[in-house]
Amino acid sequence: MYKRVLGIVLAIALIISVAACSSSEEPKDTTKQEAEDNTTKQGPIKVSVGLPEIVNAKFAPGEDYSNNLWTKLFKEKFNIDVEVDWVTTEYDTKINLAIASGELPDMFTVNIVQLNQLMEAGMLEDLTSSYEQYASPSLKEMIEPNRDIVETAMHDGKLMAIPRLHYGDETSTSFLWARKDWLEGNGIKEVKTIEDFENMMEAFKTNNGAKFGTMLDKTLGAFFEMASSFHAYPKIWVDGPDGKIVYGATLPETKNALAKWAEWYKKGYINKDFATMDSAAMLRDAYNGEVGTYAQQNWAGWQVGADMVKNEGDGTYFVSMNLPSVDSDKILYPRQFSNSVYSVVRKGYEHPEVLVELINTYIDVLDDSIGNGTMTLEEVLPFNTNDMHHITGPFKVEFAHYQDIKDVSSSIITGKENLGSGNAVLFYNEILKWKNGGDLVGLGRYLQMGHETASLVLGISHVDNDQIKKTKVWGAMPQAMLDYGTTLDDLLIEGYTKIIMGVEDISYYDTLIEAWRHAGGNEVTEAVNKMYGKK
Amino acid sequence: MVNYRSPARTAFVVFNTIFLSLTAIACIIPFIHLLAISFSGSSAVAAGKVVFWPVDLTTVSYEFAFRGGKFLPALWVSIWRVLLGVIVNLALIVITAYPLSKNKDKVFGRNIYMMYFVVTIIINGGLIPTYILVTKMGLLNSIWALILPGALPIFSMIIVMNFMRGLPEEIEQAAMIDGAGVFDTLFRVMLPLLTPALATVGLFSVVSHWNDWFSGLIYMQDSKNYPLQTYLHTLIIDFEEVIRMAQGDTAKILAYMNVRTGRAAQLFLATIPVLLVYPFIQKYFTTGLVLGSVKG
Amino acid sequence: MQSLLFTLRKQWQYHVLLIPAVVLIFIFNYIPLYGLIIAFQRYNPSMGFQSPWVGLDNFTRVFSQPNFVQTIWNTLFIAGFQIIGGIIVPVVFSLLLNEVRKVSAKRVFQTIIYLPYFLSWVILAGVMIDILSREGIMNTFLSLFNIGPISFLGDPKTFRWTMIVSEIWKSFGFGTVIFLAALTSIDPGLYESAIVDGAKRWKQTWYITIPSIMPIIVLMTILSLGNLLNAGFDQIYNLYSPIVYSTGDIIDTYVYRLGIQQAQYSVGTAVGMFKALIAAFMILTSYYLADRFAGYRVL
Repeated sequence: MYKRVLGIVLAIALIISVAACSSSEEPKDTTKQEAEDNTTKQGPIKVSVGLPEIVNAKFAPGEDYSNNLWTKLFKEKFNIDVEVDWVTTEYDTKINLAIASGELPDMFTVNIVQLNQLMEAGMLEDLTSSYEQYASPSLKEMIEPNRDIVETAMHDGKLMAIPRLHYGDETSTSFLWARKDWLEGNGIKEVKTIEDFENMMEAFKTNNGAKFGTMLDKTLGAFFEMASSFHAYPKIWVDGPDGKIVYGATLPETKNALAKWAEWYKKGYINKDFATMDSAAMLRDAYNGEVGTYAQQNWAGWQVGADMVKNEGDGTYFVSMNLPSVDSDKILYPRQFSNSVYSVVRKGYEHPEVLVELINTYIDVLDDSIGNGTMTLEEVLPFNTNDMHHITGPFKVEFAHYQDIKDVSSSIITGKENLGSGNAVLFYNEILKWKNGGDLVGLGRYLQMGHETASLVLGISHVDNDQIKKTKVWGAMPQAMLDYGTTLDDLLIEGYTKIIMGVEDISYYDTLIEAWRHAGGNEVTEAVNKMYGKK
Repeated sequence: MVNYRSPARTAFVVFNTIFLSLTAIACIIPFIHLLAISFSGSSAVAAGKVVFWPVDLTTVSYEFAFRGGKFLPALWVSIWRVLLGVIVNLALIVITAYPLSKNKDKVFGRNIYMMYFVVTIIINGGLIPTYILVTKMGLLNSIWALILPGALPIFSMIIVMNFMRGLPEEIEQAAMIDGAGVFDTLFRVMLPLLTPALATVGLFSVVSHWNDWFSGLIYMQDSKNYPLQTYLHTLIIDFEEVIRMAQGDTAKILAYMNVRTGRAAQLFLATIPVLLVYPFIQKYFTTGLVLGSVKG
Repeated sequence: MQSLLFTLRKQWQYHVLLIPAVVLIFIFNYIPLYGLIIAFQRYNPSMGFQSPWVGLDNFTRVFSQPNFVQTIWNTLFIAGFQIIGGIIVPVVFSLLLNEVRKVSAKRVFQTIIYLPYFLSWVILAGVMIDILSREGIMNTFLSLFNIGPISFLGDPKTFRWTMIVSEIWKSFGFGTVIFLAALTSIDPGLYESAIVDGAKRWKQTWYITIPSIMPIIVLMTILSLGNLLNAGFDQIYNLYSPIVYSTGDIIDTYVYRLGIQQAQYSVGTAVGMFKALIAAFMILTSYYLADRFAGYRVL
């Protein structure tokens, strides 16, 4: 009897729940419906996107992500209405949830893990013919040299995503950055060895009142940037002593690097609190004049450039130098497989070619239009300032700037203007703002390519001197690696932190690596060798 | 008792007063510190000069919160959510608790209903299946996604149910004899008597809706629909994520950040509504909770 | 059957009142239960719940992770001490507060210690990050006594105690108010006869007050057992960092990182399910114990 009543109740509940489902609005379906109607009427094409929020994007008054100069351009040029489904700061989480539920925007960007998941699940639209038919010569010119990257976007011989590509190799290397006024005050021209580096830290402490030697935050960023100095490559896959591919972290050079950092920590060169400090907290020490050097990538001038000058006064900004070396051997810079973002179209969307067309437009506006005379510098500038070039979500590629950097730096240094692309013109004008007017807006760019030892100028020389060491996992990741995600690296970072802080002795390194192997490191290593090892 | 005072007793009273006062101070000091920071200049804060009193007094952080930022929109989402959420919660609690406060002779299958509700305390489908359900119902980005999944707080319902059982039966019987139906009895006779219990569970609802940040994070795809606590969460925690998304221009973002004062201001603003509401409901709260937990 | 229909007709209003709740609970609590099957599948979003079955693979995979066992231990450790402290501290405070004769002082004190309980962990985390950093006021204060500086949030050994103490700090006001209510309901006649017998204050406390509130202490303890696997997702997720994963990672944060942030939907669901099963067992046990030893029937 009970059961029957319960049965009736549940049946009623079920009916109501079904009714609730069907009567509730499903925005996605209506857009689809309209899109179908529109194609038959040749009306505007609608495309919905999900976007990561760009924190510093400054829109013109009245404009936002769904209504701005880019969307207006797309509408005007192709009669395409870009509709923004959502904009969020937690982009990866939101995409993961959307994938789980199968409710995806028409076009969006994914990382390699998500891409593989979606390809595996058959949730993406084939882009092969759209690319063949619609890709502009400029886009093809950028894609073609990167066959290895394109491979990662292929599934069963079909192109499933447009890789965002990457800044060139010259942007992947690391540098030692140090305060300009302190360097000059101490008469330091070059920092060749680790010993020189230690002497410099001491000099800053005794002569300039620095509280710490160098900077580190909880991600251990500076440790990894400086690993090359010790010929250690803790984040990439390299050839091991026995000819098999091994993770760089497992090799003795990493241990040596850690031992050195632990020593520095003990000597008080590093803020005792680094393990809880994010990069903002770390940089506070620099802004307060308590530390004068750290290892960082080419863009560090944006961190310790304008804000340094605001806090500490003129000449206090950091300039770049080559990393010191533990011996006299040539330093190699690790290069991760660098395509981290892919633009994709959800399965079943009627106009996959829209993706290709809008990426074409992106390249055209930012790189070609000044050269071919369709737009003036003044017209292009708004598309590239205030982070407006980052807000287009899937409709974007990264440019390799090798030639631009050469053009810009030689133009600035020699004073003879020789610029080949729109991007180069933009950079050049930014730098002039600093050089001629002292406008801090241009300082970051100046420190990247405005003088002889500017970071990217050095970066170019690293490329030209064959100092780039590519990871052996160059392309798609094996499944085991995808499955473990970042858990294995988290394990290592936790262990490194303990060693640096002296919570554990350096001999703990061996225990740590053993733990790493058991936690899945062995499994991943095997998978890597199967895929990329010598046959 | 008052006139009985040995020296030991006096010593105890002194100690006790001091100890309790220190504890009370420990409970509010963090908020005073926060307040001081929010009204201070950012360089003074970075230099660690601010303790309990603002240094370089300024209201910039508050102006920013009210003018430029996303604080106000998020505040509206939260207020709207609390209003809707509490109304839905209380309505469901009352109409559900009433039949369940009867025994199984009066309401056929009462114990089965009870099991049906209580089981959900113990097992649930977990985050992903629930997320999929909410998505399929088209509730994503809707305020209802924050309200409907928890529309009936079972524990609050049990408190009200027990409270109803503690009421003298005669009141209800008198109403029934006067010819009032079930609905009339509930809404005309019982409802006014429930004030302490409803104030209690109502406060619970207000606080849990106001404080919840997680469902906002999961169900609001668009960050402009975030309720206040979700927005504050991103302010505190997800800075790193933001950096990662911005890729090449990481550095620029960092350069602009000096958030400590701004963060303090917004945190403090978010505590104000709670500060205003809870002392008033507090007196009901104790009675309601005690009565509700006594088994009738 | 006839009589059932008759009863239902007589009571239909009651059942009508129950419909909305029954329906909502069915939709939002019962339908998702079906989704638990992905714990036994290799979940493929395009196939949904028809994804390929993998048996217990997801479970074995998790259990072979060394940090998973550690995670369970962390959960028990943090939750255990939070529960113990969450009983003792409020009992002590309610006894002390009960000695305060001035009603207004009592009220003010209650209101103040009650405050943190009503604030979200998001806000409290923001506050804690600020005051507990190395340059924060807490370390400035401790340095007056030549202690520290202590890395409250960044040292694996300290982190879990920070979590335990801060949780007790947040919620002891709530417990204090409950015990205080129990104290005020003690029959004054008991004290009067004790005074007649010449019993001193502390003896009154020991022989009358504590035994009188013992049942409610036992009850609160037993009911907390159901929370032994809940060490507080909100609190820890808002405060932890990779350096303290070894001692601070709890089952709930682990599930979230795995299931959502790393998109291992099936594995995440499997861990969640494992936790739910144990939690169900503990909740039922606690309810049984509450009935058996404190005479309190929750349901």
